[in-house]
Amino acid sequence: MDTSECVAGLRAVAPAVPPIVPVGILFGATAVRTGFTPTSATALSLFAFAGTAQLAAVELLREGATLRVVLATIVLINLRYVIFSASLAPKVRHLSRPWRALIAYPLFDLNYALAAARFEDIDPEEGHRGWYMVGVSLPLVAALVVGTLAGSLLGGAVGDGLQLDFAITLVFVSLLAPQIRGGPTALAAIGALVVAVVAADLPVNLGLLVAVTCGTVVGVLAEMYLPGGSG
Amino acid sequence: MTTGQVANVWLLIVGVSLVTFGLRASFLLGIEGIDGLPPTLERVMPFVPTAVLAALVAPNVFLGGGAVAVGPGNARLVAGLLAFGVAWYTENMLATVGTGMAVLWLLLWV
Repeated sequence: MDTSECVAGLRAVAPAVPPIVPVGILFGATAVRTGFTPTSATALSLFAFAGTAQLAAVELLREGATLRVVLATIVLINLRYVIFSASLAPKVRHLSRPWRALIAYPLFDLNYALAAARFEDIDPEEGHRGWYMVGVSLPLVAALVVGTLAGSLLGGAVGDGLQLDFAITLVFVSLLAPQIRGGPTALAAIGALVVAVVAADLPVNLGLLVAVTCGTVVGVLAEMYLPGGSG
Repeated sequence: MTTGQVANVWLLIVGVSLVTFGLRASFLLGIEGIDGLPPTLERVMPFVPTAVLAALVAPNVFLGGGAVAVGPGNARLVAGLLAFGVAWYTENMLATVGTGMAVLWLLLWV
């Protein structure tokens, strides 16, 4: 075990851990109102470790979406993990397959950014990259799991009057706003927004997938043809 | 409590976990010898999360009682817009959710 790399990871991630807990609490509290038990809600946080996607799943289940639509939406939300995976792969090619699986399992925006920066700075001979990832990711997974357990145990006691489902929408708002960085991303968001409202009545939440497709196409076209775009 | 149309929560857990791990492991375990993503995918990818989030938010904010409701009478729209402003300036999730919920409760209860 490479203790110093593990500790370096723990140190780097520490400030980012507390904000994960309320995401877990919110997921747990809303999940138990959508057919999950505290055990199954906590299991999803542990096995999938995908906060935003889990909140989306709860939201979609609440609206009556089918398993297929939920899974398709999860693919779209988590599609960015493919970028992270492609970016880290050459930097950990020297590690065994179990190590690479361990690195892949909790990978998301935060630990990806920390790992990518560390792997630039430290040679594989100087520090074990797998252990760095363990140090960075373990507290994050623990925070989501503990938050979920707490939220799911409390969730049954919270009344509908608190409108907790809207907190999920607000989490999405907080993730959406910083992503709008100019014309094409703004148009992609507006395109998806308009279609999502118009197509809201399509069965089993298919409107969401239609809206995502339209918004993405609008964004790509805007980037190609708008002045100042890259095309 | 309703289970919606997904009768088996554990099937959902297995599905979500496998799909998510598959995306994370795609290059780390699976695809080897390819440097980076195909250019088409690289072009499309940046817009997908933006579109998904906008599409998830929109019906919960712009629809009130099943119809499009754009006006100060729609508490969720007012709360959502203010929260968007907070998110834009602070990029802070807790501040965003806190503001939005506080505004919603204020408008509904006062």
